[in-house]
Amino acid sequence: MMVKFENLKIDYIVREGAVKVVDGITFGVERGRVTALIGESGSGKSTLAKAILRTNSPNAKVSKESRIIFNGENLLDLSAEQIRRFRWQKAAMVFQAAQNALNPTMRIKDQLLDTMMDHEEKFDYGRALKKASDLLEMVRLIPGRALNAYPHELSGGMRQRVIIAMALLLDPEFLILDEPTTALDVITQSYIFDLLDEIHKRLGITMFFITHDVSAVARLAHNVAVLYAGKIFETGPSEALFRFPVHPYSQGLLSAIPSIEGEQVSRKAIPGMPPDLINKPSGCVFHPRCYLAENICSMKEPPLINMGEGRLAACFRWEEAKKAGLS
Amino acid sequence: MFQVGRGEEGGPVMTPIIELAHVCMEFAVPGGKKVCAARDVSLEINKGEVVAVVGESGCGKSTIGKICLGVQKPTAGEVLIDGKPVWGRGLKMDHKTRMAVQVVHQDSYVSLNPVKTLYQTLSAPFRYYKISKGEADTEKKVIDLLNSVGLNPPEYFIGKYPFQLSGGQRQRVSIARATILDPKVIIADEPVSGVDASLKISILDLMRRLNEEKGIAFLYITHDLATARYFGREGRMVVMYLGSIVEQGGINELIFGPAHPYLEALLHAIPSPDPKKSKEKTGIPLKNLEMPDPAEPPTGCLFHPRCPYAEKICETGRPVLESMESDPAHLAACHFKGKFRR
Repeated sequence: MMVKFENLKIDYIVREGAVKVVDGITFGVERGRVTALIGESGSGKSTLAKAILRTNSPNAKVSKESRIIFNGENLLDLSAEQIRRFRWQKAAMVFQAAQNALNPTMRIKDQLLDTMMDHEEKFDYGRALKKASDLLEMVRLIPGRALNAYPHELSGGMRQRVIIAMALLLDPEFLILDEPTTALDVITQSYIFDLLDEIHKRLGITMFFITHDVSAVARLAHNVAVLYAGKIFETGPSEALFRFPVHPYSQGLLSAIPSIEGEQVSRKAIPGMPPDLINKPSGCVFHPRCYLAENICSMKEPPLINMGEGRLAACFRWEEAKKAGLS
Repeated sequence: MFQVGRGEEGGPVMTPIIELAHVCMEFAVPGGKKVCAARDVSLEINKGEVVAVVGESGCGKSTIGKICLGVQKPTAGEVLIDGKPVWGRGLKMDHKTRMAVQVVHQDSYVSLNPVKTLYQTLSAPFRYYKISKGEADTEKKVIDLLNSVGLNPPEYFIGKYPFQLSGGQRQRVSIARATILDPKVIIADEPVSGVDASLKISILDLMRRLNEEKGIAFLYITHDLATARYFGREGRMVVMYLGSIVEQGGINELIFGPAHPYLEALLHAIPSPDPKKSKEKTGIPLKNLEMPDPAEPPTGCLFHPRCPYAEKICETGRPVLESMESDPAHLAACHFKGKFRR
């Protein structure tokens, strides 16, 4: 395992109380593989991603017994200087190509070199420039043009590729991709995924996708985890999980996606609304919306149950759910 | 799909609710250049019909929406609502015409007034247009309205502010607001792109219900072909590229038989939720990824610099939007119309 979350709990302290955004997550990201964490807004996926780099906002309280193990080391124990070194050198993040990911007043070259200058002990301008150009070439940009451009001179797709190149500058082992294609057009999105696929094959880097867009990651991900209201509901190899989701929530989420393939089938939305994260429902957080809920679901919280073939689901009634899903 | 406005087979001649005839929209950009967001666009929206306008960002689809809504005056061409020219006499539409066309915006957070409760927002049109008789009647009407868009119980929602609602609930309020004046058509500009996957369907189903039960026509503007198909069903689809309509026809006909290489590329780029199928979808059939500078559009066919099948003729001659031989309702602006040399 490259990264292992052990009973990770993060609360946001607000006036009304503690918002339990990440609520006891235990889950591992395999080395050299592509793992995707899928969740809707408010599921806690970005909070989880930020926790790895420890960039959560000041009102985020990480519980004492939580651990994030990276290469055998608990990231939550690192000192400020250690975590500064860890960021970008060991683990880097590809942000959304929104306006704020790149500095609008700096040329791409200066932003790339800035990052290297800050992290490298012996900074060599020529070598750094070479590295930056090579990476821009790897993301299929023309270095001569891209290096001297300001962010506004680039299209959204180009900016996203610069951000990917920037994340790879210090040869990290672990790459977090937070909604890397959300604001992009389908054609650009498809191109970025081709590119990431190529980078993964070439560098063998461990990738951790955070996304709400299920279909976008289906192509790359080896493993998938489904997050709901701060809890992992289901994990497993992507092909099996996408084909036969077991947890009623994963089933609902996947069947809610309209498709351009095959017959037009009517889709069903999951009834109800996402829960209030301050006063969560008792037992299984999904039970008020679940089609299989019975008494036990509102009383006890289901643990992640091993269903075999590398698949886990947090559902007491997974056997019934599996049958319902297959029929 | 019914062909109207011609009365060819002796049937009743129906006027489209909205008709755009050869509409052009030019915007001046710095440097004395002009960007054409609509080039000779002709489009009809008939009673009770769903028309989906799809394309990438910058293709002019939102501009078409604004022109249909009558908030943007085109630089050339005619806009008719219910057969009457919108820009005939001066700069304003009359009330009646305006009431017939309503809008649902993409971002429900900015399109609802943050300091007004739902009651304040939703009761204003009833009072302004004197639809309700007295305050008690207004309240009853607002409650019925909230019920009709699935905000239950209405008493719980009526006093809420927009920030107290989720994205899906806010979008329902936007839709409710658009239906107050019994419109003939609603222009929905990316209404679900900001809504979570599990709630998207319920919003689309709500619009579907309004279409079926109240006969409201929709101009559904989106970049997402899958939702266009889901919502549009047997409706029509219009594909736009750099301000031009490049393909038009029945939604399923277009999705299963694209005639323009641009639509082919778009369809290819859509990821599949099935990992096996998705893995086959690598490499986009395009010569060039980047959209050309809209201020300096290419000569000939607007798509030729990116088209993998482009031939000599494409560089010089601009293709016109014409019917396919096999299906007169399916139009494409391509010299080859599906018969490219691959």
